Amino acid sequence: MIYGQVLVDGLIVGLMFALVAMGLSLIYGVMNIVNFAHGEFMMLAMYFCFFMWALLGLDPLLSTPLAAALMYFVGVGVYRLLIRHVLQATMVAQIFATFGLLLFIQAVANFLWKSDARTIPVSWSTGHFQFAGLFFNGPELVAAAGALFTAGALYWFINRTETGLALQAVAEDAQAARLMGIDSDRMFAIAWGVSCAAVAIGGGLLSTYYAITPLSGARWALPAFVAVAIGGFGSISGAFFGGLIIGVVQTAGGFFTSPNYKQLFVFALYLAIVFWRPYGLLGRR
Amino acid sequence: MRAWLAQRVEGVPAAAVVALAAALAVYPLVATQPFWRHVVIMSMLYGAMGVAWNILGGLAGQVSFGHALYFGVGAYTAAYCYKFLGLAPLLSLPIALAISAAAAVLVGLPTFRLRGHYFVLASVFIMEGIHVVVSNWDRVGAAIGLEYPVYKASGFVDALWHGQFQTKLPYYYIALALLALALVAFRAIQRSPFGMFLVAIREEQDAAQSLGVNVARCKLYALIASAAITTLCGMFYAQYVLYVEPTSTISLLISLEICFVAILGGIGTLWGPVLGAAVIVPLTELLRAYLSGRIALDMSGLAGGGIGAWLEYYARGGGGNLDILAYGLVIMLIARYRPAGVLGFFRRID
Repeated sequence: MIYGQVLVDGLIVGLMFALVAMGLSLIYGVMNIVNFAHGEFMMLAMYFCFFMWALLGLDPLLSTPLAAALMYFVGVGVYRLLIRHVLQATMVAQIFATFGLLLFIQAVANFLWKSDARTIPVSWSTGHFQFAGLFFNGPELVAAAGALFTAGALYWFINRTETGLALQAVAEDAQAARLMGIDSDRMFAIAWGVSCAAVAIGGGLLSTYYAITPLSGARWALPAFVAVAIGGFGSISGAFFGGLIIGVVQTAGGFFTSPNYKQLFVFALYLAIVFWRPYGLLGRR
Repeated sequence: MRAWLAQRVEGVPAAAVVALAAALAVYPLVATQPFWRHVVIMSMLYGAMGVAWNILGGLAGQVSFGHALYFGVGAYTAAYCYKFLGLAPLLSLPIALAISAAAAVLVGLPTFRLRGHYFVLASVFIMEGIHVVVSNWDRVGAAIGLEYPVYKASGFVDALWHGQFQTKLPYYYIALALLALALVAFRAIQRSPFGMFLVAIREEQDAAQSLGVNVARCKLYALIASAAITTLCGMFYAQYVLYVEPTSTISLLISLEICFVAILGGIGTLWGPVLGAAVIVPLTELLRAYLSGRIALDMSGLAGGGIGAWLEYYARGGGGNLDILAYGLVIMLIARYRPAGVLGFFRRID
């Protein structure tokens, strides 16, 4: 039974990793940029939900859609002000652009809200229950369900809407897409907006049970890179399954050794996978 | 003599190099305040690490975001050997270099097959993994770190043996020697056939391989050389601040600072990291001294004070971290406006 509990806990965490990784993979797939600041948008959404709760008494699950709408525009703004101008630059310059953004947003959060952990003690989903011999924590389960729903919506958006198909066309061949009348600059901006909105939903869902600090987002984003690599950079569905895998690996590794070492297993998994397949488990090139 | 001084060392006249060396040698005699000496010590330290990073990143084109690992190897080996084994820095030096070379081989063998972002992320994850291990390893002080036992030296030779000085002056000249060593090593490698192999790997790895360059071995040797100098810098750092802990040695921020120095000045060039360090390190040290001193003010009692109290709170430094805020801003601006670095030597790395 304990193995079942570990597996279920791993999948619950893994769904959140999956959501974070899908946004990362979307941006990478469309414009070949690794967004090191991805987790910071999540952290901003967590603070947004915290202050909506603290100042207006709004349940974080209600503020989550608002946070997503807000982060959509933040993402578009970041693309227009920064990312658009490094698209033609070297990989190193691109890495520094998003890494500088990570330092900047973290420092702004530290300056404005201090590094003390904040929590939202009670939400609509608070509570524990037992089902089929397994223990569930309400907020975590609701967050996982929300992440699964958002991941499904993202998948639907990419594969079933006209905008999503245009995004895929730009990812495939930006030049050819331009000849077909697709405005690639607009598509890039939409990709940033959607990616940031998706991770903001993750942040909002997390804020119901996870301590909120300026570093909260980075803790989720770093393992999510492993999920992206497992699925092959740029593959949205690959990132989803990658997220589930690292969720289980991290939870099981932490359970059988010590929670302090749980990230080690994820990093080791990355090395094992790229050593075996230098372009990721499902990646091609 | 005149003809010699007119010679150029990588685009810079020999006379200017001599003038720079002389200015650096005389500087601490003029600037006697500890803070101003400290600023140039840190600049030279990061300059040396930037030059070392450039052997692998600039010449061979392998962008490592994990160099803080080798910095940490040097810092922790020096501190551990001194504190627990009673070994002076000169005696722990070969141990540190051996661990550094072993680490370089262990990191290099699996990762040098990878290209682009896969390599960058592998270097980050290995470094972060070691950070997790060190942060939980009680023998090396875990998250708290190791503090040096302070040694009261009798005479200069004794102080030199223990690597602990009362003033910043000896540290200054050791840092200068480290910078000179890094520059000489970079130049020697750059002008050797080995250096040309590295450049060939950077420009066109597959072509270099087909012409008989042993790509894997060349990258590994470049990493070992680069890591060795970075380890020396780590040892110096530990002896200088007499305290090591995980976040100020083996962290992504330190990795980033090392490689940013090289990229800011112009990747793959001899003088680039020196220029980059001369620009960014004094800036960050000044920001740190003037902005991060006001950390984490008490927020209690603000709630009743209204907007005015909050504005005053932020005007007095808020929750701190303004130095990192400015640093992040500078990095973004450089990436946005001068992606090839301040010197503008454009080097494409894929």
